[in-house]
Amino acid sequence: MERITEGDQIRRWNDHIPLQWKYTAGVAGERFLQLLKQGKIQASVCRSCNKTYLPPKIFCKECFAQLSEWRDVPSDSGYVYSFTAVNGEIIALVKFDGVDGGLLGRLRKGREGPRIGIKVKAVFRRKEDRKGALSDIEYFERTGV
Amino acid sequence: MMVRKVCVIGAGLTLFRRRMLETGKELSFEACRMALDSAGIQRKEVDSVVMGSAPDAFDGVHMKGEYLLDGAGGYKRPYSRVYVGGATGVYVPVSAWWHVASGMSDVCLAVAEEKMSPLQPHPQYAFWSIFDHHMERPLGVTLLWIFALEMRRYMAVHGIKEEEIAQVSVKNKHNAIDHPCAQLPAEITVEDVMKSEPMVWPVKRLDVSPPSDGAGAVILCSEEFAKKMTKEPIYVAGCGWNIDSTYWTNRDLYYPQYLENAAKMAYKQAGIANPRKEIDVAEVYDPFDYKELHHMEGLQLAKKGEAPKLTTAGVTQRNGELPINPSGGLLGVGNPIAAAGMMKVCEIYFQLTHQAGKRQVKKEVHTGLAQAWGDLMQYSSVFVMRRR
Ligand SMILES: [Zn+2]
Repeated sequence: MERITEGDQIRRWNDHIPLQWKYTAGVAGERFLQLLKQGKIQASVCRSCNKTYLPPKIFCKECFAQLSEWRDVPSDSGYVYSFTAVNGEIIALVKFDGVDGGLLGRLRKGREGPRIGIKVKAVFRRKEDRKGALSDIEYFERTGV
Repeated sequence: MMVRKVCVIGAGLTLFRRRMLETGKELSFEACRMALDSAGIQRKEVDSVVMGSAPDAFDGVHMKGEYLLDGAGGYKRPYSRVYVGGATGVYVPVSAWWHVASGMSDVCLAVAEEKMSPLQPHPQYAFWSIFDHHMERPLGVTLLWIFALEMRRYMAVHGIKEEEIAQVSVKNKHNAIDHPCAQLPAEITVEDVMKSEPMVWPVKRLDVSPPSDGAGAVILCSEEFAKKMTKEPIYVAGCGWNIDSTYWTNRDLYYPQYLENAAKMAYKQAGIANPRKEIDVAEVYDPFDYKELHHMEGLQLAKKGEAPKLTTAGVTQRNGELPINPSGGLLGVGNPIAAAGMMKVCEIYFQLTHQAGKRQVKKEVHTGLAQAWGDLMQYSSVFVMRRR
């Protein structure tokens, strides 16, 4: 084994791997994002397992049925499941009553600091600024008390 | 060997297309769902799952096995991803085989997925970094170089003409017309292949299979389980895999010795002494037309240099004495890397169970073989199935 101590005495060089990607959101993801653009959150439903998937999936991971039923998730029915502070922002994992899964998003700072369990709603960007992307939800904010 | 007998009881395959809206998870789900339906079982009866997918660079998702997990039916199951490059699709059922043969699982779902379309500007770029960074990359090497050098060496050693090799592309693209999942079925002539755009001489556009998105799956199970599900189970007769030197400068390019080793491993297990007589139908890996010939020879289905002659004589046609790639192969059905090998496993299952429809070969078939090739173009996997 030879440990490198005198870097200048051996040949070293830089190279890179030139890769880029064009992603698709998939069947469920495309529909989910189109709905976000309309200011709606929907989840897909497996009746036999009594599961509601958010983010939505075209399949039930339990029973492996193809899912075609979707339902509205009221955008003001969220609650903070957990949160952290990153670069001066609060990032929360928001869950919704009766829904499996949840959404990650920024939590707008209120007068009181964030707490686990507080009720929140999704605040969408103005219609003309929405792009059919997760960022169409500008932030979550606390509702009432 | 202290192993249990293993059967195949179902298969499923998605469309193969250049670009699909479906994510890799969704493609995997569709293939698995079809395979479960084909076997007549539910996910709750699946004891373990083996997923196969080639470079993460295609989908653009690192640790793709984890990403694909729920779509592959692996949620809360013993689950693993296997990866041996292009040979993955046939290595997945090999891996599933030992899950069942060992007695660890009664039912194992084997699924292979590839979504190549995300990678820009072309999926070939995934291979940029497989080459040695001081001996090969400085020349600007691409994957096609290996194929061109291999094809040229194979032609030179046996005195094979480009026109003879082109017949494979004509046959496979024609066969693919009858495959409902096929991406590039076509009626073409040897002249069309010869006149197609040169890529890296002597490799031309129509010598090459297309990049694709797609997924495939099969269900493996114990003999006891299979007998509950079907009167005529298809048995896994033999598995083999083998690898040669990573460096193309240090291996024979005219003959795939590693494939001969893999084939002999599978034949020994299957009790096959004369593969040319005992294999009734074969799906051999054909990402390039010359590779079908190369692989027939490595598999001992033709003598060295004899595969082009058998092709010219019509032996490898669907109605021939030894049908090769009745599915339409990668050249016709498409080449979503790992899923392409699985497509071949599915095809042999469909042939042995008489579910191949218009693709059903003319002769009576009892023993079929699927083979794939990959890693750094020096790995082969072989899977032999048999109807009792
Ligand atoms: Zn379910």
